[in-house]
Amino acid sequence: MQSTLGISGGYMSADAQVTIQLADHARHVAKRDAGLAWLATALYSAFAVTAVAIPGGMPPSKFFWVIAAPLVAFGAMFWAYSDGRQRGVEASRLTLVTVPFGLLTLAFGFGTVALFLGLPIVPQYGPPLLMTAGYIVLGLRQRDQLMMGAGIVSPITIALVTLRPVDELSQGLLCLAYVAILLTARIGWRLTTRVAS
Amino acid sequence: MTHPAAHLDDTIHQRVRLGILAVLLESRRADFAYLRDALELTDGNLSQHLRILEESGYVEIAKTFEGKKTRTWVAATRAGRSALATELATLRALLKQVAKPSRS
Repeated sequence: MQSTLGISGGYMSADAQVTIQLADHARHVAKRDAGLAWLATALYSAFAVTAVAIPGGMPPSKFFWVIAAPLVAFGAMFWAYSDGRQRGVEASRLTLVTVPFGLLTLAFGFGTVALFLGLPIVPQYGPPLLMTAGYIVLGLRQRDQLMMGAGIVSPITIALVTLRPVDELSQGLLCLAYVAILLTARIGWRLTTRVAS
Repeated sequence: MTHPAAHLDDTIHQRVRLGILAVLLESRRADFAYLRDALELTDGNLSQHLRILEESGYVEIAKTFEGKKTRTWVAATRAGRSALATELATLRALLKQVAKPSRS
């Protein structure tokens, strides 16, 4: 009897493990295909670098980051949403709006408070770093590597823009390169493994 | 104290139906062709499982017209999302129970 129970328990355990793994894998595939991470990532990143560019006023050279970068991000967001929908899977529109804008509000709120308190450097680097931390936490929580990757790539972009003064064209090219990296990652990850495989 | 297995939901304690709900959990909705391809099912097989899930109130099915084509969208209901979460929690509890060394 004991051995029967042992076999039964072992079978049940293996069955339960396979079922859990299947569910996790199905969720992972759907998450990737719905493009949620990609959309949120593009949006966050553009705003993060914009946030770095605007402290200390808004000279004409900052125009690109204030206007063009968010537009590129919104364009990417629209494209990704349409692309996912065309392939048959729709991301949650509510999440797409609430998550990025929640983080954005938090980051800018933090920057404003730091500015009000007269803290040096913090108003400039605080918001993007807070967003980066937000990416990484969300990525870890959702086990989303693309989101975590964006969290790491974002400060590199910020460093390139802020530590080495570049002209508008170079900034534009940098932004395009950044979007291209994300786009390539997105397309690469779409070479899918199916749920049943 | 009841055994965790008593909490398993017969409707979704089936891999295809569990897979359908898992896919829907991460998206607002998915269309019939996407589910069929993602889960590697035939049209008939998927239809059958969707009907069972719909009858249980775990998914909602809507048909839309896009151009001349009809598209079938499937979305998980709140009950469906909750049932999936419960099922997975139960399976995890079951695994813990099985992993415990027996006292006999």
